[in-house]
Amino acid sequence: MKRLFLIFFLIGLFAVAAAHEGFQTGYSSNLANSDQAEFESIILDFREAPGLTRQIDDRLANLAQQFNLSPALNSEFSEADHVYVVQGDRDILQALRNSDLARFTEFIEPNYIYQSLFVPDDPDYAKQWNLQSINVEGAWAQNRGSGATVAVIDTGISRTPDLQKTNFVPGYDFVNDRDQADDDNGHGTHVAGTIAQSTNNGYGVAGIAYEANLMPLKVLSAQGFGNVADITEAIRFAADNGADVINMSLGGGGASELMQEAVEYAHSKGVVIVAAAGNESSQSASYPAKYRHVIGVSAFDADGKKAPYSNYGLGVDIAAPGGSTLAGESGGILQETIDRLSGKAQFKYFQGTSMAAPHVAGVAAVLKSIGIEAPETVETVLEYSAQKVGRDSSNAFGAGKLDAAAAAQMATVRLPWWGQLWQFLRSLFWFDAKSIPWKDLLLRGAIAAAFTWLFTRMARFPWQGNAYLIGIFLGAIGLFIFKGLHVMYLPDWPLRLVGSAIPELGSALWRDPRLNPVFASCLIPLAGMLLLLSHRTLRWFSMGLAVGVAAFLSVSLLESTYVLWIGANAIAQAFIGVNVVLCLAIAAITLRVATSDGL
Amino acid sequence: MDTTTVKGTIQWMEMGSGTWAVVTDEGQTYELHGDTASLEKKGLKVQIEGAVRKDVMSMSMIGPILEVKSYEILSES
Repeated sequence: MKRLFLIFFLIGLFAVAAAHEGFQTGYSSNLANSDQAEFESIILDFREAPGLTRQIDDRLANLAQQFNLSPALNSEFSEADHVYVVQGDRDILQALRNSDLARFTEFIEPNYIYQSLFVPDDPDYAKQWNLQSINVEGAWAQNRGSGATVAVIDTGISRTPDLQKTNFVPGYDFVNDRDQADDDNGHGTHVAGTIAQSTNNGYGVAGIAYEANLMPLKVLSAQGFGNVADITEAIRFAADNGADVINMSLGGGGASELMQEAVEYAHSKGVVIVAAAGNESSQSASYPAKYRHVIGVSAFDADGKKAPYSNYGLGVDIAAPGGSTLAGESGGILQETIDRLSGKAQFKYFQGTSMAAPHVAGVAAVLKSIGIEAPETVETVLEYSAQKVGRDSSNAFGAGKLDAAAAAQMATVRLPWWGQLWQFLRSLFWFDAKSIPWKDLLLRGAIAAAFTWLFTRMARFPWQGNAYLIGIFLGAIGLFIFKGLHVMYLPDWPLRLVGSAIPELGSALWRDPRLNPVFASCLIPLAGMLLLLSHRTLRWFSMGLAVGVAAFLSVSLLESTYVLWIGANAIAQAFIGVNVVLCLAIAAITLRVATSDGL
Repeated sequence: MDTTTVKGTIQWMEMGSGTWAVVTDEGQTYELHGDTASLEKKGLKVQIEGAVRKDVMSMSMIGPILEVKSYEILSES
């Protein structure tokens, strides 16, 4: 069984490596990871679970005794999330991590001090926890977005007092078909404020890339709705009129080929496209965030936790502050906007992934201004410089939390030749470990090994031969590495096809996640047996195939998978179950015939 | 376009600049679109006949966008 085990060991190794952030080979100059970064205090984030509160209190009391530390809540928002701060250095950090306290915490990490050269004089800047959480001051020390243009595809932008000193370039109102793209809702002006609110003007609040140009593109009505046709035209308008970055704090509906083409067009013209992941608290970003070449942004709150409304999972590339007003409005994102009814300028706290996306768009403008041109490189820098979030199995944070200072620092460091080569290659090929269902692969492998063991009890047969192992591999697993591989300028479907196991081929061919009952059945193993039974070597391949497909279908059975034309119901379960039995019967017949044939 | 019937409670959702929604008893949230002025009252129990618009996007992104065709107010709660 050595070879079989070796294969599953390798899959396991890949899975572990992929789960580990180190798999994403590359350079990282994340400030928080550098040895030089300073800290005087340590953050303790206790686990949240029913019945744990009392234990946390006990641990806090122990902490005071054992280490002579006095834990304090980080902010008024921290109590519900059990986030505490204690004074301490590297030694205390190590001691805490080694103590039994670690079992009760999600993380124990240094509370790094970010030194900055510049704090703006906007009187309400202190209320913008969000800008501090992305270390915006460290970015400002390098660049403030000068020369870059950010198209805000939204409800329009009204030039409120705190946008008077911000640069504007001509935009368009696609709802009312006119050049002036004023806001009649309040959403677009708020989003624009996060990107480029007039800053250090002694008034109001700050924005991230406040020296950048704003291009107002109104596609959403006063009620906040817009159609795909207008949004698509706005994307093309931005690309044709010199935008460097597009922000789309909007979403919904289904996939649109028209919109995907516009996104590809803007991308080919060097535009970085950022979109909100959506606020349904569901396990996939909405469109347009989910399109390729769009940076999908999820939201976290003032404590750095996933915001309760934020979508997660597929399509989330990075996380940024979107706030949560659940425990009070100051947990939201504060910018100047207009009141929907009166039209008058007002400072308002909003929450949403709509608020998170413009943080990323603002930092993208800073990177463009520093001189990074290729949108892939901007995305790479944003993602590699992001603060990594441990144990994020639901992909609530993508590459991590946006870090403006680390991104600007990474962008200003000139890469050595190998770094540039790597960056070029990375822009041609990239690998997304998250598209591979590691758990399912391991489970299918284990079940296939168990079935194989059962057959060896029936008769000794050459299960360690190549023919049998290749059969199992194609039936249960497929060339799974290809599932995560993307190649620039090539469509994804041929890679998905190559990366699929036999029962998944129907899904890959028709790009439909539901199991296709023609492929996910005993039909192909049966054809294999009929064709190959008389061949002394290849019949082991067909037997392996039958065992592999049986293992694949067994896992589908455990997960109540949706079967095309049938549904995700008892009939589908019965269909899969019967086919597992039939596949095993095909394998048993092959084995019986081969045994009577003298193997 | 297919119409669908949704029964639930009207709510104002604080997402982005805020929007009106109907939340069904099963917990599914639909964002209200179209001529909704007379439905815009928190806590209203309603039955709405409408179409889910897949060609429309919104700034609130809270769920499917339901264009109201007709409605019946069940109670003012």
